Amino acid sequence: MGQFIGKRLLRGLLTIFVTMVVVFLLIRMAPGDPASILAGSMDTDEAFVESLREEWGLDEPILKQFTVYVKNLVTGNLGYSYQYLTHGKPNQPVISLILQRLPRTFILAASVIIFSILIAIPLGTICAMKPGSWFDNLTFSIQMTITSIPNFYIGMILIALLAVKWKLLPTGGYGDFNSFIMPMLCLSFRYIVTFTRTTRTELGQILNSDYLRTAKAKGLSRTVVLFKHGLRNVLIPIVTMIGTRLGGLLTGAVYVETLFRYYGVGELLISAISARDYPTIQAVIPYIAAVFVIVNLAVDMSYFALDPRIRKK
Amino acid sequence: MESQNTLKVLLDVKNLTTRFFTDDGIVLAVDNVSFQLMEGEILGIVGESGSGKSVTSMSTMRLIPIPPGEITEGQVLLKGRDVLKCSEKEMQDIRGNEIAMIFQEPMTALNPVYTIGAQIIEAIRQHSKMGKAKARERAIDLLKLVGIPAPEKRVDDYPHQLSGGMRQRVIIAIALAGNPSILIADEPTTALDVTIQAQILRLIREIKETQNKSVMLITHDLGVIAQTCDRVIVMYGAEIVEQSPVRPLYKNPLHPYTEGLLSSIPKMDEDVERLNVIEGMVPNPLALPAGCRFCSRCKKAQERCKAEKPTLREAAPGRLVACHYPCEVQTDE
Repeated sequence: MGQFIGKRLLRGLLTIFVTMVVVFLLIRMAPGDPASILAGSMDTDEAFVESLREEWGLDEPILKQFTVYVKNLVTGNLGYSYQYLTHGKPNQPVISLILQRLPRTFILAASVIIFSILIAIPLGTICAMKPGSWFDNLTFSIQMTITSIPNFYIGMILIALLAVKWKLLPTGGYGDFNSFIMPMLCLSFRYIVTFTRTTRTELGQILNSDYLRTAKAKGLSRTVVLFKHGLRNVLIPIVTMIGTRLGGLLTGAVYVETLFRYYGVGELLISAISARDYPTIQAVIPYIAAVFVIVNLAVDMSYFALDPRIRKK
Repeated sequence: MESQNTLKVLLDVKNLTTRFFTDDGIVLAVDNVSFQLMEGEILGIVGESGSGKSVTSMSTMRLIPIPPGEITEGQVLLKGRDVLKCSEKEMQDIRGNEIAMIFQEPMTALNPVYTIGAQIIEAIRQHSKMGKAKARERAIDLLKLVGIPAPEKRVDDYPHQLSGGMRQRVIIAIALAGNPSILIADEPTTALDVTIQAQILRLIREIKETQNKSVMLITHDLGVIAQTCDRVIVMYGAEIVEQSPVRPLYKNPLHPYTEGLLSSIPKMDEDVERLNVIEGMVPNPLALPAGCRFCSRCKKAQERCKAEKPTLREAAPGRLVACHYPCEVQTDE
């Protein structure tokens, strides 16, 4: 077990390092650098741009820049964002930008997952217990409809109805619970659909399984058969599914964050990319890689708890 | 051997009819089946896939999936009480406690995420007020009874740590946990290799003797019946076509189908080029013929067989057959 975790962590570190290399090179290959983009918006002369490049070390050889980047990241010095300047000096440490955005993204991700599960598991269970019933068919049709509408469009419909027409919720923003509801709802639709489908399919198979018949033949009640013997087995595929989705959510939902002006990690990354804000990009991307590594590891660890067939190997 | 007269009827199945309502049509899986299970006997039900033998046994415990299945007619009298009229709650007391089932697939019939001990203990505690520690002791005793070595260690194993034969023993232990009077073994040895098969059959016979059980053994293997059973029911096309004590059936089958089945068993002392087979296919359960269901494959079939369905009648004491032109009963015994 310990050896397994160690191996996975080492491989994870390698993954993070590779993403660092790739992102470092990619942003430098993109046209324009932070100095010129900043200067372009400020009506300044060429000499000032040069002085910025020099100050930010962008005139150094690329290898040197990379070693400085890695050294800074390892020592936890993420530098200052190039986007926010007072009197030509960066004043926003990247770390404080990220720390400001992280809780928002985390709360949103956790709420979406929990909300979706609370809706999807009962829904999927009902469908699995009565396959082919009108309820099952109706659920399926609604799900297909939702799946075929892009997320941002669902968001726009939500705004049009809930905010503009009925004036129930603010159109966006961050801070109070009311402005939190729509981004959560908007993101949840897709997850509810996927989670319901998985629960329905997996539980449907388990309900027809031989061991459930054994459980019933023991004289156990329907409830015990379903919850003790059925759902416990369904948890394994559901955890896998949550794991694969959680990574995406924890690294920010770009469209939805932008649409509802709910500025989380995703929005931070997008604005950093358009500003060629190297320090921010170079910090956020390894963070995203690290989140995926950790979530995947957590999913694998949860198998140990849920599935004895893996535990005893 | 006890004499037939003193035996009590434990399970009396009368005119049992089970249908499956599928998208393709109504499948008549069990058609007007009547038989009795006596106290202390092993009753074999033999037939090919789709003959209705498994559905018959599942129907007596009301374990068929509803929908698409439904028991449309009949009575299943367990010690005089009609199982088919019981509420779901009453069924919970009957399942495992009065009738228990040994399943066909030892590899999948156990829940992979619980220890075998937990699965036996659960069955014990469902039907008695036993404490956890006591139930665990009983579980270990049961594992010992079904021949699992080092049961006090094995009790904490998960199903995947056991071989197929061992799992089948665990399934038998679970079936015994509620101390039922009737065991239904649905193809208990089909998924096992031959040596393990023999061990499991011996175990079932031993349990029947020592634990005083009655057993219904469902199989497609006449060899298994010969080794294990006292009486045998032959099913074909959702019906009983022959019912007989085991020895006379093998010596002198009455129904042409039984005769065909027996002649298709390869004999060790004869060299044959090709095995004997019964030509043709089982009838489509969606469209069963009006007359005798075996008639299209039967060598003895006459015009009458196509039009008129033979009913099950007594051909000799203890021997029933559903055929217009059965083989002659030999009385040389």
